[in-house]
Amino acid sequence: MNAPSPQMAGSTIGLLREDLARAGYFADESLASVVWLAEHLERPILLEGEAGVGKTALAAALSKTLNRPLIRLQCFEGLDLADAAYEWNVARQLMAIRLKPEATEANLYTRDYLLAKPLLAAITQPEGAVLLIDEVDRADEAFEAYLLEVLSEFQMSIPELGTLHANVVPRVILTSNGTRSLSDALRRRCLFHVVEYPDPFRERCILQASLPDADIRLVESVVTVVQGLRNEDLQKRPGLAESLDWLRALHHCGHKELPDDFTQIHQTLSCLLKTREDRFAFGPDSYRQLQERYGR
Amino acid sequence: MGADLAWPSERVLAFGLFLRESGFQIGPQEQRDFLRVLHAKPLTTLGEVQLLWRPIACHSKRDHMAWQDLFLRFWEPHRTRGTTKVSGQTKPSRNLQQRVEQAKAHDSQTSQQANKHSASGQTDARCGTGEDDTEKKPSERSMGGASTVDALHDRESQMWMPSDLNSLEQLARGIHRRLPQTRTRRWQSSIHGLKLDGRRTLRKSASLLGDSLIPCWKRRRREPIELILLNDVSRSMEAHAALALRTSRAFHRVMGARVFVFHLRPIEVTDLMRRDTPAVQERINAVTAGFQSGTRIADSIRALHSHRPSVSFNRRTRLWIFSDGFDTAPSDQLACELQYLNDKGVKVDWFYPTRQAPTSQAAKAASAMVSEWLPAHDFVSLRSSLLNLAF
Repeated sequence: MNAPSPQMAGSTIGLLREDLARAGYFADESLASVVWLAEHLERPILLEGEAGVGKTALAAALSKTLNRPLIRLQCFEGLDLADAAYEWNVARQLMAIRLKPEATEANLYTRDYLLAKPLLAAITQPEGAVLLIDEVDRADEAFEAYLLEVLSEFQMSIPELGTLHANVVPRVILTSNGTRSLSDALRRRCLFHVVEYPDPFRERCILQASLPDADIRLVESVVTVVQGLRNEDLQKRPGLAESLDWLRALHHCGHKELPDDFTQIHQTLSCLLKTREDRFAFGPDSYRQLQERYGR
Repeated sequence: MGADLAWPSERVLAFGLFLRESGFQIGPQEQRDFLRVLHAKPLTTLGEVQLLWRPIACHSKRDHMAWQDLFLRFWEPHRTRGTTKVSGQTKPSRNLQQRVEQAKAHDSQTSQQANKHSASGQTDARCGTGEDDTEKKPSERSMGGASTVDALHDRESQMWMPSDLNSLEQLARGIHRRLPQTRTRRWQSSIHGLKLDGRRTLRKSASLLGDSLIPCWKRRRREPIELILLNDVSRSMEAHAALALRTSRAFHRVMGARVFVFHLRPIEVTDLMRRDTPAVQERINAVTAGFQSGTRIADSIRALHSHRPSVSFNRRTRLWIFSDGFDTAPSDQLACELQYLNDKGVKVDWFYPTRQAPTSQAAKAASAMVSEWLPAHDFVSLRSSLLNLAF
């Protein structure tokens, strides 16, 4: 990849923010800087933050912005090489042996018989790709160690074939919810960024862009309540995804603004509060207090 | 700092060293990246540099939080040197001339008052107590009905520095790595397995139209040891419970240990361990403060294994008890409960907050059922105990 010229680079972060906004993602300056850096230094991005703050959405927006395919690898405990990187197409190899009995081992272990899984697919994509390695903290440590080669050199070693290098370096985004601490080796290969909850202005912009039909008063009220809730001592604080769900629910119920009557919003609270304890703790009194405290 | 101002490599290297001394993991790669950024982009403000260098230098959330302060301390020391944070009302600043004038006014006022009193010849006792009255006025601190006692989470003895918590987590990580994994009765497919997985082999063969037999192997599934921490938060443990709970928190964060506190009965606080907010710290401090009227260790252990179906005790379970061993139940009851756990294959380790092992009758009676008695009166002893723990 060619580095952006210094004349262009001055405005690149601003332009990147605009591009991402057009793709429906409102990045703050620090996050846009990280994306710019990742492009310039050809390094993966490791995003850490609470669930629902927009870590995964960044990859989708970046894919739209760069006009590259988004390849997603969802990590889980027990994820192995065959699920993540590649697998030999044994059925096809057998068929080849039947059709051509003279086929040798060298003929059978070629790219034609290789089933590319997300990691390999991202590396071999001719026009480049955006690779999202989602919730990497859920994968095992052994898999994390395997990622080191892929993320630092953008290459993959296949014993039967050799080493495959990426023609176009993929944009890689790793996300983590912090359920397990990642190894220092992986962290050092990435550009690290903590995605925080958006400030009220940015959250309003995101909600308005996501649901343009919603009344502005409703959007503002939802933002106010959700921002207030994030300061409360909840087990699971509502993220951006939750506030968007709540806004959608209220909008579909025909509300133009947040009703004062708690019973009317009680039905929709399941969009916002995701644990039994939080639902129990957030009653009419808490709602009233929240409204009074945050100036409704 | 303008764009024309040079960023000499030596200063950037020195900044890297400074960060390394502050606990950041900065190597040649990071320093090279700092310079690459400077060459790639005409940077006009220090804020821009700070934003662009942050993702390169920071590798954890703690780094992320400390970054801005460290950056400014190095590149703009004049902005940070000698500044203090103040809270509440501050007195307006005065220059020397104002101070002299005020001192003169004060002197003249006191001399006038003295003259007045001597002239009147009054010997009213209350005159002498005039100043005492002003002294007895409530101070600004105690006004407004607010408590003069600091919030629990503001107390120095309860506050832990991030570096202390980091050390605990590092210790927990080391222990976690050393903890053996036990083989379960369940099987899992593995290329390193030694037993043929007949079902999967046949299925795979069927998917290849029975043309070939590709053996699939399996081996016993290994699962990590489940750690349960039981912390005594009774009055006699008030001074030590903070260490035990912080340790529990570190083990919960690193390896998902389940944490219980007990006084008369056990209460699970695992959920509280997940969050790192002052409110949670307040709650943790609250459970460690002010309990009295006896400790029920044996009853708590019985409640844990009998009335909590979610807690399973088997040979994969390791129970760590943080307690001084003073039990108000009959002395043989603790031994009975621990024997019950031993029979189920549970290994019990006991961390005591004193230099000598507990001498209570209950503890003495239960000594044979406890795998190891380990001192944990401070971080150093806790560390050495954990490092010497047999697995």
